[in-house]
Amino acid sequence: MARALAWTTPGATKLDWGLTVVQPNPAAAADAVSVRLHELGEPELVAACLEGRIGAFDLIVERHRRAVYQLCYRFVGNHEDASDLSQDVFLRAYRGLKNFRGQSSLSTWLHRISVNVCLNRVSVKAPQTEPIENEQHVDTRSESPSEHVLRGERAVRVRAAVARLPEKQRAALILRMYHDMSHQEIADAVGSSVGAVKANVFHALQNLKRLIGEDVR
Amino acid sequence: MHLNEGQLIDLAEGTRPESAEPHLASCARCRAELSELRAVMSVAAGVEVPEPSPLFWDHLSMRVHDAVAAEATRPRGSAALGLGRASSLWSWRVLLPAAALAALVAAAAVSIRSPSDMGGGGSPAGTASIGGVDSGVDVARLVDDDPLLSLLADLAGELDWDDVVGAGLTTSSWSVDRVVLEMSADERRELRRILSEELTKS
Repeated sequence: MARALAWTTPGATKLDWGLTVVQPNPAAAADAVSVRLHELGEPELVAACLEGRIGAFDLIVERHRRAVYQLCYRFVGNHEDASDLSQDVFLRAYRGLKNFRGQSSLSTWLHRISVNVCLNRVSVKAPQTEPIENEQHVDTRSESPSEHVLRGERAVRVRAAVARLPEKQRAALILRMYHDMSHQEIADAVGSSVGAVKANVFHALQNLKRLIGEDVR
Repeated sequence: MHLNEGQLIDLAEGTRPESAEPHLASCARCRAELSELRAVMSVAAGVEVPEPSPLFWDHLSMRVHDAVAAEATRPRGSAALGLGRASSLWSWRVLLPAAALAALVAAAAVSIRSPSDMGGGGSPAGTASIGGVDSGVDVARLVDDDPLLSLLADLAGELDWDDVVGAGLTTSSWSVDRVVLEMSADERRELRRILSEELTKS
């Protein structure tokens, strides 16, 4: 029976607590306390998540949110949609985590989900990127030398061009160039063949050259 | 015959050496095509995604956390994974002791406030009777002996559940987990010591 109790109110600066022990398995209780989630490797983290430790999924999000966001951003070319898509990706990952078998890395698995989420979204909503010549996204930190400014402007044009590529070409190019996935992994992710992936990368690069034209020298 | 798309990509990416394609040495068109591919790749590779606000990452994590929490609390059947069950189990691990405590405090509050009303066919005054089963525990004495439980018993007479929730005195499985995560090594040691102490008593 608990002998002391304390409730922590919002804004309290010091945690103070008492305990009521109801854990039927003392060893498991001690383990639960001693194992730090941050020290867990990928498979253990997934297992912890499936055991219901909500903090475990938070940690998965923390570890992979940048890569997922960047992939989504490259797909849609704007922050707002990339942010929404990233949330969708992680929610879908949470739903499907019990099916993750560890045959690929968690990041590859998340990239696959990201591509599917992006492709689904893109198929019902045209990308909201501006035409390249009307692109408004200039680097506001442009107090730097002119070459830096030119490089920034070119980056804007390239990102916009990537976001305007046909879906499969876009997926293949992004995963290959920016997420270091093999042709085979990309083929698995998009449900295609290695040959088709290479062809898509090839045509994506040709279209990119056409879209950014004079910048390619 | 010119190089096909796959061969050109392999050469451009460097996964296949140029020496493996003798045709390249004799075909200006394929060499030009390969050169252009490499140039576009070079331009594209150097383009980074703009870095969002530093606050964005925590905001994104929180959005995901809220969405997942909403997913986990959805009625069974609409939840698409076994995680909902695990989360429910975790919730019960928190809720059960809370419910037990609430029952104790409620019993204590009732017995302290109106012991004479508990007479008749029920338990002796000051003895807890839950579900018609006499526990044999003298709750009034237990509460009297512990000033903190006594205070809780007094509070319980004044509060209802809505008041408790409104005052932010409740917790959630996530916040408990978070607290454990944020504990220092010393705090974890202390928690382990208290856990062991309590477990040996039970």
